[in-house]
Parts: sequence; C-alpha cells; structure tokens
Amino acid sequence: MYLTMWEEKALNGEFGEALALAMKVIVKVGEALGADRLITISHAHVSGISVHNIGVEGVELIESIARKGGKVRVYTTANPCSLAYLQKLRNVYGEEIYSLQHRLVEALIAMGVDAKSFTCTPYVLRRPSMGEHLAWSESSAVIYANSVIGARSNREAGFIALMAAISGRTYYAGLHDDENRIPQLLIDVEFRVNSIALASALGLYLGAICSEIPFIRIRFDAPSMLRQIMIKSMLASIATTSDLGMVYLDGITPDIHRIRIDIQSLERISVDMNDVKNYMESCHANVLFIGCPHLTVSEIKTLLGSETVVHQLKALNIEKILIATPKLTENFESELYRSIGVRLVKHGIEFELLPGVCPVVSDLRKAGLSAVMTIHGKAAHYMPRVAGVKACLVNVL
Amino acid sequence: MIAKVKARVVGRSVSGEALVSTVPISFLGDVDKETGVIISPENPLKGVSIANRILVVERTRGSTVGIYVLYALAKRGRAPKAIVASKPDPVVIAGSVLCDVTYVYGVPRNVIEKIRCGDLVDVDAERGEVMFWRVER
Repeated sequence: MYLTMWEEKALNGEFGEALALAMKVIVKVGEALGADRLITISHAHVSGISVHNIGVEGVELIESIARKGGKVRVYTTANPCSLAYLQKLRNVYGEEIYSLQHRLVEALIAMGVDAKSFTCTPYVLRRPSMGEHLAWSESSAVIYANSVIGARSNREAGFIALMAAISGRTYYAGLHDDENRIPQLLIDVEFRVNSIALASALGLYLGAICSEIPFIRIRFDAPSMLRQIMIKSMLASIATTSDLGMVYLDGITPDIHRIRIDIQSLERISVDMNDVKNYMESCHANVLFIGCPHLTVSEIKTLLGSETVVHQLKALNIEKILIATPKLTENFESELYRSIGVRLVKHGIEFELLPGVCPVVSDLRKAGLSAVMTIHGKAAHYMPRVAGVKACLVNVL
Repeated sequence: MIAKVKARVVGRSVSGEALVSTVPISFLGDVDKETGVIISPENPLKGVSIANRILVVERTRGSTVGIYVLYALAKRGRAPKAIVASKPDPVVIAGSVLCDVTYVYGVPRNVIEKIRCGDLVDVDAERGEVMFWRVER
C-alpha cells in the first residue's frame, strides 16, 4: 500500500502509540479489502457504544486507547448509548452498569468525540457535503450519507471507525471508489408509499431481496417533513436486512449523474403491496416507540402535533410513548413537553423522551417492558434480538 | 506435510495445534468470552475451547462487537494462538492488531478443507506463508 511520509511515521509510532495502533488497524484492514492507499476523512462516526453489547471489556479496551494518548484528528460523533446512561433509570439498571456506561462516554469525550452527539443521525449535527469521504459506522447513517447526501462511507465496524477518527484517514476501497457505486438492478415500487410503517416494511423487504446496489423508482405520498422521516426509516430498514451501504433513490440521490449507466438495461424487479405486507404484523403492546433513526424536535412535532394523533393512539390502547432523539437542551425538552406531552398525558398516555440514548441497544426487560409497537423497521427487527422484547411494526402516525 | 501456501499474515509467527471449525464462527454469540469455549449449538465443536489453539475456519461471521470478545479472551489468556481463514474479516483484523492474536487469511478453501483437528500449523509472518503438518499419534 502506498503511504505518505506522514502516514509512514505515524504507523511507525513517531507520533505516539495510540496513533500507531490506529494506523495499523486501518492499513491492515485496507490491505485486506484491496485498497492501494489511504484517504483523509472529514468526519468519523463511532457506533457500538452500548455497554449491554460491548461489555466491560469493550469499555476497558476503549479506555486503554484513551490512556495511550488516543485523540481524534477529525470531527467525530458517537452513536446513542444504552438507556442505562440516564439518571432517571439509574436505579432500574443498577449502579454498576450506569457507571460503566458513563466511563465509556467519558473516555470517548476525552478522546475528542463531540459531547453533544450520541445520536444515530450524525448528519443532523454536521451535514456532510456531496462527495465528502467519511468513516461512519451505524449502518442507518451510512446508507443515508451515501444515498441521500451523496457523501462516501463504507459501513465500518464501530471500533474501526474509532481508529479512522484517530488516524484521520480511512482506506480507499468499497464505496469511496466510484467503481463500486454502480447500481446493479432496478426496483420499481408499484404503490405509493404513504406511511412511515409502510416505508419501513418496504425497506425490510428490499434489504432481504437486494444483495447488490439497487436503483429504486419510488413515489412517496406525503408532505416534505413526513417524507423525510419515511426515507430515513426505509433506508435504516434496508440496511437492517442487507449489507448494503447505499441505494439509488430516483430523484433523491444527488450524485446519480456521475454514474453513466443505462437504467433500463438493468435486471428489473417490481414490488407490490403483497410483497411487503408480511412485515407488518399485529402484536399486543401498550407501548409505542418512535425515533429509529432518532427524530429531531421538528420531526417529533410533525408526527405528534396533530389532534388526531391522540385518537389514533387511544384506538390502539397505547399507554406510553417512548421517543428517542439526539441530545436535547432543557429548553427543547420542556418545549416538547408543553406542546405535545401535556396533551398526551391529559388523555392518559405517558410521554417519555430518550435523548442521546437508544432503546434498541438496551436491555428493555429490566425497564419492565415485554412488548413494544413501533413504526420503524430497524427497531422491529432488532428489539427481539437485542433488547429482549417482542416488537411489531404498526401503521400509526 | 499436508500443504504449504502463501497467505496474508497479520501479526507474528506462531505454531500450534489446529482446531478446525467446519461452520463459520462469530466471536459474538458463538464463543464464551470468559473461557473461550464454543457455545454455539450448531457447531460440532460445541464444548471445545479455542484457547491457545490455532482456529482454522473458512470464514468468521462478522460482528462488530467481535473485537471486544477477542480482547476479553486475550486478557484472560484464553484467546486462540492464531486464526487461519480463507476470507478476511475486518473485525478480526482489528482484533488481531489490538490483542496480539495472529490472523492469517487468503488460505484457499480447498486447503482449509484438508485440515483436521490436531494437525500442526506453522505460520511464518516474515515469508507470508503457512504450513500444515499431519502428526501420527
């Protein structure tokens, strides 16, 4: 692999042990994936920071990198962590796991990770520009960056993204290279997508049938803010049931002009409503979870701001709504409570904001839950596998 | 000697006894992080420890958290001496760099298929070579 003089020196330990380790990981992974050089990145995003998933050893390993002098060289954000991080759930999860989760967050911040991050939507904090090279983990953010923003990132493992953050570089292979961003099949969605749950179910189905980058012709039937949430949920769902890091969405993906390909020559698959309806199952739960990927304050207002929402939730016997968001200032939190929470509470629906954390990567049985309804495909898929609760996709909101 | 092949080696030269898994292994879920014992019910090696052996497997199943499991094993002295595979796994590469576990990839599948548990494996990091020997017992 070709390395610049600086990269050679960094690899040989001239700038410290942590940087040398980070460079070694990036170079060795790059060699395995056929890269002939490294590229500088503008933003790294680190996932895999829930203590339920990485355990005490994960925390120790990341702390050891920090102790060796590990510092990020580029703007770096991190994924949400476990619910165990929240002060209000400290007694529920116990002191041990609470302090472990805090140790991990502190180690990341000490290395230079943005303390305001801890979200699966890093593009809300810093929207990359088109063509920018990134090293992001968190599959839903990667597929969004490639498919909606036209930036470039592979689906990195969380730890490898941290090593890229410390090196300020990643290997030039995979989706960084135009050659690997060419659609290989054409998908025609034969129905209008008019709800988040439907977009999610479609995403889960598309992920299951596509092993190569698809060019998707699709029509969303919704106002722009809602459409935005549908796209996020659909892409996150595609990345859940596939290894895809990008898709082309007709009329949305910006760098389509770079790809000189006759779309009509691709193998064509048409998708109708029957194909996706299996992904929407009914289940009995009185908790609704939204925010996978995280929802912004204005997105939450769009979803829950109308009068009819309360009736919809009542009809489904929802007693509690959990909302995962990026970290919020106290102002935003109280404003959301005033504008939305009060009305829900008045109708007997508990309203709980989960800023900077993610229930999907948390042990939810400890929090007293056994089944959850959601409108998001990724959450519906992972909650039974990771969070230990039943989950189903329902068409509401 | 059963085979001598060129392969990519991450880490240092080691030799040891082969433990051959005929099904892909994931470091998250398939291996107990305290003991190194294979716990996956689908694996014929269930109940056998990978500690200090040379794990030979066609491929590891990627889990991003696998690095931490390898680190946990290494800390307790229960990591394999080396992992020898056909298909490279970025997570295992990172784990190998951080935990000082030699990782060999690019060994052709038909060679992996010839190796049995108990065969001797010799990894030469300098030459980028790996040799397999059958021992009469």
